[in-house]
Amino acid sequence: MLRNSRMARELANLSDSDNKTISLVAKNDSLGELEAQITGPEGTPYENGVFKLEVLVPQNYPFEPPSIKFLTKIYHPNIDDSGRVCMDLVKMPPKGNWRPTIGLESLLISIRLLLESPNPDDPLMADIATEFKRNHSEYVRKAKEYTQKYAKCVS
Amino acid sequence: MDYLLDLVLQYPLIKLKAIEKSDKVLIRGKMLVKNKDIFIALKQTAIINGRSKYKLIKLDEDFNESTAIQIKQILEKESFQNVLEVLNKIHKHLETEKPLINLENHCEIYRKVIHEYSEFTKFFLHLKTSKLLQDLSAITASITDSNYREHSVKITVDFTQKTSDIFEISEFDLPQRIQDTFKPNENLIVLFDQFLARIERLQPYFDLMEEFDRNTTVLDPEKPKRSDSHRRIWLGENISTIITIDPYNVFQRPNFKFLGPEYLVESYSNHLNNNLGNWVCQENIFQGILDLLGLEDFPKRPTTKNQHNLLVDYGECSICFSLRLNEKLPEVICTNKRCEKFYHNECLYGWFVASNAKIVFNAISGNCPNCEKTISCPVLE
Repeated sequence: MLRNSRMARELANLSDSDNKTISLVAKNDSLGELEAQITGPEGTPYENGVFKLEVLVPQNYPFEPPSIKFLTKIYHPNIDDSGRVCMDLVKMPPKGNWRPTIGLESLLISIRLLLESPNPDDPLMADIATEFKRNHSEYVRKAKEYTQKYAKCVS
Repeated sequence: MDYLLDLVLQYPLIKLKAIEKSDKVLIRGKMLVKNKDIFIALKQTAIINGRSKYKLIKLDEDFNESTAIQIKQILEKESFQNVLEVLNKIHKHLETEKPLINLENHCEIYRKVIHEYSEFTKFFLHLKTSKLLQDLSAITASITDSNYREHSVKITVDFTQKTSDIFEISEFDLPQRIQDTFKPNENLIVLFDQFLARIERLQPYFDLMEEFDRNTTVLDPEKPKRSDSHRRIWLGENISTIITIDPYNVFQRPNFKFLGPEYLVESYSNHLNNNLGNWVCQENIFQGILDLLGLEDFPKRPTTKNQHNLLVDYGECSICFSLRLNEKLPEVICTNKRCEKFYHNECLYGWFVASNAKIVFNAISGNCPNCEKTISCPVLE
C-alpha cells in the first residue's frame, strides 16, 4: 500500500537524520497514529519546552494531509485550547496548501517555525493574537508560564 | 402386488419400508441412471382413491438443486398407482438430466503420459533436472545449453480429451513471438525439441543481453529475465535510455527511447540521428550501439551514494518516495527545467483526483505538486 511504504521510508529517513529538535514514532503497528515531539525553539517563550503532538495519518495519505494536534497545552495565537493548529499546509486545496510532496518531517519543521514566529493576522485565538500585538510582554510572560507548567522536560 | 417382481428386477437396490403407525411407505435406495448408482429417497404422503402421492426427501448430490425441484414439482402434480410407476417416472426424468459430476476415464492418458515421460528421459540424456508431477498433470524439466545457460520449462498435460496433442509448453522464460508460439504436441520428445531449437536460435540474443547486464548500469528491469528484451540504461544524472532488442533479429538496429529532460535528451538523439545511416549488420552489436550513441563506453553509475541522506533519491517518485510502485518506475517528469521531479503515473493521477483536477479527453492536468507549474498525465482506469 502506498501509505505504508511511504511512511516506512519517511520514518527510516527521520531516524537516520541528525535532527534533534523533532522526533516521530508510531504508536502501534498500523502507522495510522503517531506521536511527535518537538522542542521549543531557542530565543522564544517556548524555549526548553518539549511539546507532544498527535499525528493521524489517513488511509489515503499522501493524497490527503495528516491531521496534527498538540497534546501539550500551549499559549500561542495559532493553536487553540484543544491543540488544533491553524496552518494552511495541513488543509486540502483549494482552501489549504497541502501537497503530496510534503513529508511529515517538513510539516513538523513548519510547526516548529510557527512557534518561532506566530502569525497573529490569521489567528485561531483572537485574544492571544491581540495580546501578542498590543501587549507583547504579557504574551511572553504567559507563554513562558504555560511552557514551564505543561511542557517541562521530565528528565 | 404383481408389480413387486418388476420392482425387484428393475430397481434391485430400492428398499421399501413401512412408516411406523401408518399405512404409508418410505422408499429409499439406489437406482441406475446412466451407468451410475444414484441415491434417492421418497415418502408416500397420501392415498386418494387407491392412487398415492409421493414426496422427494433426498436426491443424490450428483444432481443439482434445480433437478430436485423439477422432480418435486412432478410429484406434486401427479399421483401414482404404485411404487414402480413413480420410480419409472423419476428414472425417465433423470435420464434426460445431466449429472453434475462426471468422472471420466483417464487411464489411456495416464498410460500415455507415463510412457512418453520415460521415453523423454531416455532420449534427452543431458537433462539437468526432470520431474513428473505425482498427479501426472505436468512435467518440469531444465537443461543447460551450449553456452552453459540453464533453461527450465513446464509442460502441462491436457486431460480434456478434446485433442490428441495432450502436451503443451506452459511456462518458460524466453521472449515470445506471436507468430511462432509453441504448439501442443502428442509427442513429448518432438515438443521438447522445438523448445531446444528455440533456445539455440536465441543464443545471439542471450549473448547481447548479458553484455548489457555486465557492462552497463541497468535501471530496469530490476532482475532481468530472459524474456525481457529491453533494458533501461543509466546514461547520467537525470537521463537514461530504453533499448529494445528484437530477440529474433538481433542484428537489426535496436529501438532507442530516451528518458529525461529535453535539453539532455537532445544531444543524444542528435548523435543517434547522425549515426543512424552507419548501422550495418555487424558481428559486434554492443559496439554498434555505442557508436550509435557516440559513446566510448556506457557510464557507470557511482554506487557510493548514500541513499538515506535524501528523502527522495534521484529518479524516485516524489509522491510515494520510492522507485518502484507495482514494479513500475516513475513515468512522468515535470517539464519545468528547474523542477524535473519524477512521478509515477498512478501517484500523480491519485493526487489530481484527490485535488479535483480537470480531465481533458484522456489526460488529466493540474499543478506539479512540487513547483506548481502545469503538468499532466494520462487518465488511469
